[in-house]
Amino acid sequence: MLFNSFTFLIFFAVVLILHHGPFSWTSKKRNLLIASYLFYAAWNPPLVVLIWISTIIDWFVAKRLHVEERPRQRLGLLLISICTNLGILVAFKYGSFLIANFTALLNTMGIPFEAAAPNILLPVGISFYTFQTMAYSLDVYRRQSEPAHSFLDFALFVTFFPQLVAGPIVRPSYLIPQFERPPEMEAGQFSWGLFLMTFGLFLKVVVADNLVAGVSDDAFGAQATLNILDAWTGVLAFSAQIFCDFAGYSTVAIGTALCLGFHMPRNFRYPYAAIGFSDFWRRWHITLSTWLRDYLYVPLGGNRSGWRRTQINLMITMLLGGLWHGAQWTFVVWGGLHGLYLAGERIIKRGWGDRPLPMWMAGLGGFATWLLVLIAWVFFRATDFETAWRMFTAMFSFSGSGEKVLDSYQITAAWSVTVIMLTMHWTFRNQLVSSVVNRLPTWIFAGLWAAMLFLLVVSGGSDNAFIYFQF
Amino acid sequence: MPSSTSNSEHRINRHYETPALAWKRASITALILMLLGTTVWEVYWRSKSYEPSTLNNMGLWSETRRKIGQNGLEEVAIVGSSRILFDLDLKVLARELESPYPIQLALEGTNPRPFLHDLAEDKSFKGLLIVGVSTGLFFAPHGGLHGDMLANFKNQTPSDRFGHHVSKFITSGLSLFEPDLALFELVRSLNWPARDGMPPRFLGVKKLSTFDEHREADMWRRVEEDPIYQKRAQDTWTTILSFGGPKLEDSDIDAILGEVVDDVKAIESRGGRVVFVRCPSAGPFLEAEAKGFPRPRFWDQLITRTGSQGIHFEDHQQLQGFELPEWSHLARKEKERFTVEVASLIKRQLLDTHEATETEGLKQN
Repeated sequence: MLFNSFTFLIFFAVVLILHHGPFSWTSKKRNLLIASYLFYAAWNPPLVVLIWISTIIDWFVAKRLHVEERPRQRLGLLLISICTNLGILVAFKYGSFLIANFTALLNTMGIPFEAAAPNILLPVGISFYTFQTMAYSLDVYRRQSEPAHSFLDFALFVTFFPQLVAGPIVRPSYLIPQFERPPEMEAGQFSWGLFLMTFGLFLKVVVADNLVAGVSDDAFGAQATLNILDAWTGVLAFSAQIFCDFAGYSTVAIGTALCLGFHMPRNFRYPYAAIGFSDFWRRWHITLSTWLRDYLYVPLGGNRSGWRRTQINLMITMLLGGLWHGAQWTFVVWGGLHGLYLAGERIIKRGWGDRPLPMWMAGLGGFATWLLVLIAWVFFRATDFETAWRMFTAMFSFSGSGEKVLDSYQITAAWSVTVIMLTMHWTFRNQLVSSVVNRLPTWIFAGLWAAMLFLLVVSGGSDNAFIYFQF
Repeated sequence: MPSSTSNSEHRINRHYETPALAWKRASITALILMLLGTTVWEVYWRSKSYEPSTLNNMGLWSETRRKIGQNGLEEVAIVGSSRILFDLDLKVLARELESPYPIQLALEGTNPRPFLHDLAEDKSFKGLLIVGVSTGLFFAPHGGLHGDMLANFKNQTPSDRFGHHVSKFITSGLSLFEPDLALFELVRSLNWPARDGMPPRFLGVKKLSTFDEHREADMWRRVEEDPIYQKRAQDTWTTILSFGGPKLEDSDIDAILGEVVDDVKAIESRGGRVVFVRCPSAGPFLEAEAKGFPRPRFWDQLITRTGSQGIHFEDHQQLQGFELPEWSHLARKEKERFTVEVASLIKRQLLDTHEATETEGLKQN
């Protein structure tokens, strides 16, 4: 079910009525669980079974892990959980990719082999919920938290619909305690949640879908080498689209949860105002980067085993982080580029030491970070290396030749959105949305809210899925 | 050991604490302003001849497609492009053919062959299939404007299906959901300067019709009544025609017809029947079609190779003299007469075929 659909409006209205109605807390949680399964089943009912498998296995594994003291048995239990979750992920998300690469490898070695093309359906949001449940088993294994006291709470943690298919990736220790007792709603929390939902949908529907998606589609879809302006405009448009689409989803998820009385962690913090790449990853898809840090980078050794090993750990984390986004080598290269950026930043920082950056250098660093992030986005958006190469050729060809595919409206739209977005990110880079809103007079806030609602109504458009659903 | 409720690192950080605002006042003001703005927007477009109409989208098409297979041999379905969509009056067709309500699956600007193939593969379809032939689209190598409709139909989720019914309920009462009136479509259709080395953007009219819940399409009144809009519609065709059609070799045509013959045979093998209909066109449109797609090479070949019934408007006196405001589709008032005549021709031709088959059978006995 898409947030930007009439179906969701009806669904959410029913959920709210039941959730704020005169029922016991357990009944309300049961309602939420059923609603969450319905939310997921609205795409493809049979795929709910995968969530059930993950839920049941991790529930029992964690229970046993908690009481088991023998190390080998504990490791075995953990492997059951990891193999189940990663097995589901690999089978459904990377099956075709692995077969295609295996075939290509054999053919390169001169061994004739042709595998039947598997027709595997990618379950929506599979990367999100498998990571979330794996975190539960890993936390219990590492004795960092106890298993949930109630199966209902745990099942709801795995399936909680606002963040089920595209995050934020929530830790068990963050969400499960919130299910244990009825939440205390702050005054105005419900309206604040509705406002955040409006704001998220505005980012997605108005900015991402209506203003910039078509521009990046036209630029990346062109078969000829583009004119330099068209190429850069296409990349700018995609950088705005991916942010507004994904941050929009997270904001709707956070708002939805607030309306129900729950809090979600922050997933974005004005990422295009980052100075350096470690700063960027503290601002972009924060719940994924902290997940990768805690469950991959740190277990690999983190920065505890010397400089060289740290760089290797960083690169492995980023390459796998890239692959997490999709079963394509272009995503791996995107992750690898970010790994290189982080390594380069560490080299610079080692030379610079702890001295504070002067203002001009911070500004230059911010610009360089943004530029390099844009370059990496080319691999993220391109469907293959041929497209990526074509885009790079156009972006760095200063001859003035190349095909023009974007009209003046599209160029104006993409550049305007970029300028406004960058201005907002730099202006508010160290502030919470709440504190920004806090400073607004009520009538201005109400006017902005009304304008966003009006634009949502009159923008029309189709029910475009959120980009991160495919991950 | 920390408990599940006491993990210090991931304790509940309230990054989204509720700001201290007068929330009741803010919410009510925002709602009133939004409703006010939306009402003004709706009233403005109503004053410009826009009226509420069922949206002809994937949901409606899919809902219609799902009706296939419910009426056996009596079923009447229509595939094709915009002419057969605009020109046939479904109620009149049902009355004249004494059939259940026809299932209108034609799509504007779309190649009907994939849809013919779809029904050929659907063994539940055993009825009469009317195929509208706009030659340029029928022989196009691509699917056309709504070429992805079948794939979307097959991938429709339960959420899409439910959402369509909700959306139909909400949108059919308001004109502002008209795709042409989407805000950024309107902004884009402003007179933006052309870039050096790029031709000016083609800004043709999009809205030519209104739909009802059965996908019965009528020419939009403004096309008939507003001479400026009508001229813009004609200019749209002139521009599209200037792009030229696909360059087809005889082998291409042969391959296309081979596929069509297979599909027709598949339907006929189940007791179904296929009739091809070439609806009227006029003026420069007709001239361009006659030049680009000469009848002996395309239409005549189609009818000969398939052995199906074919109704070409040029062959029948009763299919002459219709009003086509923008050269390609019939005016509203012409639909009934056209449908009566086409239904009569279909009945007569099918009767002839039936008699011929019976005679052939008797001879063989």
